[in-house]
Parts: sequence; C-alpha cells; structure tokens
Amino acid sequence: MNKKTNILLIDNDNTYIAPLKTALSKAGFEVTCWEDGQKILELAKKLKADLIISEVDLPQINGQELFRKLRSIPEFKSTPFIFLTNQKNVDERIKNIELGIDDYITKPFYAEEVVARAQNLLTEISNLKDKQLEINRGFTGNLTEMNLVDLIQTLELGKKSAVIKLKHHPSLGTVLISDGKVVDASLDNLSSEDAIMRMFTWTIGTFLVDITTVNNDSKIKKSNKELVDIGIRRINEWEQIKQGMPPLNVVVLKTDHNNYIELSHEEKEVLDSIDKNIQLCDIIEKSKFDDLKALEIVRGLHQKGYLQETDDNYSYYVDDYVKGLKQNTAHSKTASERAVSIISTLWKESTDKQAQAERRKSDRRQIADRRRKGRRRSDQLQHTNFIYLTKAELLMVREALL
Amino acid sequence: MKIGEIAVITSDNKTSDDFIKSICKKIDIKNGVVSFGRFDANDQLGLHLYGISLHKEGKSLSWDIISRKMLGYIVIFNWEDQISFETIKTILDQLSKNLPTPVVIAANVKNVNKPPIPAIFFIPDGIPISANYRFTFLQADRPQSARRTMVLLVDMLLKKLSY
Repeated sequence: MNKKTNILLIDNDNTYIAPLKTALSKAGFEVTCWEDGQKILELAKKLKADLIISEVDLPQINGQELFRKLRSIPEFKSTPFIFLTNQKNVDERIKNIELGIDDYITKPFYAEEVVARAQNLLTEISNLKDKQLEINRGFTGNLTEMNLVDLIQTLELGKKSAVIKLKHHPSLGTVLISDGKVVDASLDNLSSEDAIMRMFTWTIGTFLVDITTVNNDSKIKKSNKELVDIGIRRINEWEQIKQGMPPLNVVVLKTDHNNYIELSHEEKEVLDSIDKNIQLCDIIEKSKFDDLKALEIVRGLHQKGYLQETDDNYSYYVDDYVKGLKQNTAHSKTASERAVSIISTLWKESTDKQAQAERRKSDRRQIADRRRKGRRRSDQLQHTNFIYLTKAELLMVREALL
Repeated sequence: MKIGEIAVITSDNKTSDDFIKSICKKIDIKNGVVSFGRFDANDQLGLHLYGISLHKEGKSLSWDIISRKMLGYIVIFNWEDQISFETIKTILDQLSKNLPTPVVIAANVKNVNKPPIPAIFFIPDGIPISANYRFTFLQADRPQSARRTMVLLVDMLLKKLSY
C-alpha cells in the first residue's frame, strides 16, 4: 500500500475517531481529521485526499450533501467515499448506497474492519485507475452483473481479441481471448484450465476487458462451447450449494468443538487451516480443493456448527440484499452495457433450457419413484412451508419490528 | 416487493384484530372470516398478516391451501379462558401433525393493569416447547408486546435457516 495515501476523516465523535486514526496511521496512511463540514471542500482539495471517510450527520453539512458537492468537483469524481453512521435504518442505507457511496459502515465498528475495507477500496480503485487510459479500448464492470461466462460469450459473438482481468478479493486472474476463442488463463499457480474453472464461479468482484491483439499459443484445448457449458454447470452447482448458507463475505470463527469424529478427513484439514476470524470466501480461496468442493466442505462445517458467524455480520447481510436489489435494476448501466448484458443473458437462457429440460426429466423420474415406493412422511415435510425470505430479509423485518 | 405471510390464529375475532392493529396500525380488509393487515419493513419488503378466528367460520377454511403458504403461525388464546384454549388446541394438533413450521403459542393477558401472572413470565425469548414451538405471554392490544411476539417468530425462522 502506498504510504502517502491521504485519508480525510470527518467526524466529531472522538470515541471512534481516535482509535480509527491510530489504526489507519499504523496501516501506513496519512490521516487528517476534521470535525465538521465547514471548509471541508477547500481542505479536501488542499490535501488531495485519496479517500474520504465521513460521518453522515455532520454539524454544518449533511453527509449526502457533502458527497454530492465533492462528486461535482472533477478531481473528486472517482475518489472513494465511505460513510460512517449510527443510523441502522435500512431504507437510509439503501438510499446512500444508491447515491453512489462506495461503502457504508455502521457504528459501533472495529477500527481494523474499517482499515481493511479502506485498503480493499483503494486497491480496487488503483487497479481501475491504472487502466483508465486503456478503458477506451474496452469496458469494465461488475462480476455480479456479468460473469466470466457472459464475457466469453460476448467476445465470441464479435470474434474479438482481448485480455480479461478479473478481480475477486484477494485474487487477480487473467483470461486471454484470441479472435473470440479462449486461449489461455492464469490465476495463482493453477494450470490454464484449472484457473478458468475457478474463475467461472466468481460472481463477486470486478472485471476489465482490454480489447487488444493477443498472439499467445492456445494452452486451452477445450472449445468455447465446452468451456461455456462447464461454466454454466459450475455456476448452477455453486448457486445450489450456496443455498441456505450465509453470504460468503461474512466473518466466521472456529468453535471449540472437541468432537471431530463426525468430520471427514477433508473437513478436518480445512478446519485446521483456520486460525483466526476469517471470511467464508477466504477459506474457499485458500483451500487446496477445487472451489466447488471447498464450498461444499465449508457449508458442511457451517451446518455442523464448527464455523460460527461473528456478531458483526449484519452489514454483510444487508450488502448482499442491496446487491440483489441492484442486480434487478438496470438503470445504472449505459445503453451499450445493457445491450451486451441482454445478448449474453439471451444466449445463456437458450443454453440453460437444455439443462432445465434435463432437470425436469430427472424430477419426473424421482416423483415416479416416490409414487412406486409410497410417499414417506419426510418427503411430505420437505415440500411444505419453504422459508422464502432470505436471512437478510428476515433480519430487516426483525429490525423494522423493534 | 417481497412479501412474507404470517397467520394469526385466535379463538375470537377481537384478539386477532387487536394483534394485527398493534403490528400494522390498521386492518386493511375484514370479511368476517379473515382480517388482513400489511406491515412494511421497507419499500421492497413487507409482511402480510392474516387474522383467522376459529370460533365459527374458521372451521370452514381450507387449511390444505392456506397453511402451506405461511412462513409461520402465531396462535393466540386467552389466558383466563379455558374454552379459548380448547378451541386453539385442535389447530395446534393439526399444525404439529402436518407442518414443520415455526409456531408461537401466545397466551393473551387481557387485564393489563392487574396481570394475573408475574412480569417475569413475559420473557423475550419465550419458553421453548419443541424445535418448532415456543410459548409466550402477550398483550395483543399493546404494540410493543405484539411486536415482541413477532420478533420471537422471526428469530425462530432465522434459527431454522441457520441449520
């Protein structure tokens, strides 16, 4: 991390500011604290702030107003902005995120959490900034809206050559496409094919497509169609395994179980590798197993009670919910992004239809089997009263009731 | 907007109406069989509460259809009324046989100035009866008490989702 990164910290509540300033300084940032909204624009300009962390309710100026004013100044157009607030109201939170705030942290918080979020945000922004000039030749976006399968299909349609860079905290992967065909991929120490398989399941993070000449030899033997089929299958499997699990960015800790007998060798291995509070997605990333296998192991450990969610995960559930809401609204996309997204979605749907038909056939077979064998009571129970609200939604209902 | 549906089953109309009013502020529809109220958690998420009274018309409801839609049940009887308890007992038997859904059994205490039971019984977590059943005391016409009962049901749903 660059040691001269300037952070402007605006809050008049010293209870939070003092420890936060210390933690940020320890992490190598240059921190300037300011108590109110007065003359803040001048100060931000003078400091050339790289990141602004501000309380929403400031004495002279409302946080949202401050954000709007800063964003209207060209040099702060892309400066990351984090809100700190005592306000737990979900409507307010959604409104702020919709406003374009980069992150939103509810008090009380751990200073270390804010430092980690600030570091991630700055790394993400610097990666994008480095490529700013090249963006004119390509496009960037969010993996939640367009995953690797969508990108490959889009580039194949136009027979384009490009380098796709995918960022999925904390990993950075690359996929090379030559005349619409996937030729190579790299991620950590994985082989080309293993790298691309792992990146297929990345649905959180950002991508950057650089349309450029690619002359590399093909290290991937599979055709695009084969890769896309595998990719779609992996995404579906990933989503299925993920059902009933908390968002993958929640922080968990290992519980003090003495009885490891019920665990498989693989589960024990993953559990032993955890020595501190860690996000579920990091356990999967660090695991030596294939990501689907790792997700399954992590789900098993969570369900058996070996991984316990820490108390400060509320914001991740709400972030997850807000992401879902955002995914359903296309208003933030440009016309060209929408067009690309629609084409790829249509393509995906047509290939998905075959898989759906297969699934329906299998479901019919299972129903017929049950009829033959007689309906068991456990079947009857499984098919009633599915909890159709997610954990995040239930938490929001709970909060609104209190 | 995403909606969660909850059934409030009582032995008389007044109790279910009181409960729904305490949560939703008003009753949107009332047709003699079902009272209906809306609770908005935010502009994308809400709860629909169906108040069903069992004393007469309730028996004609098609439980097969309605019961499978519900996220959970709040079954209320009047603490000082033996008949009220007998009335809801039949539906409790039916629910326990057919549905693995969280149910809060709430004893409605009407005389709030002179509660017939010690205040300590109004504990926030209720009293667990089984994995899907919890018992609590309630004052249906008091928003704070009604909301606490709803939170208890939501907590049971959250717990169920965690396993």
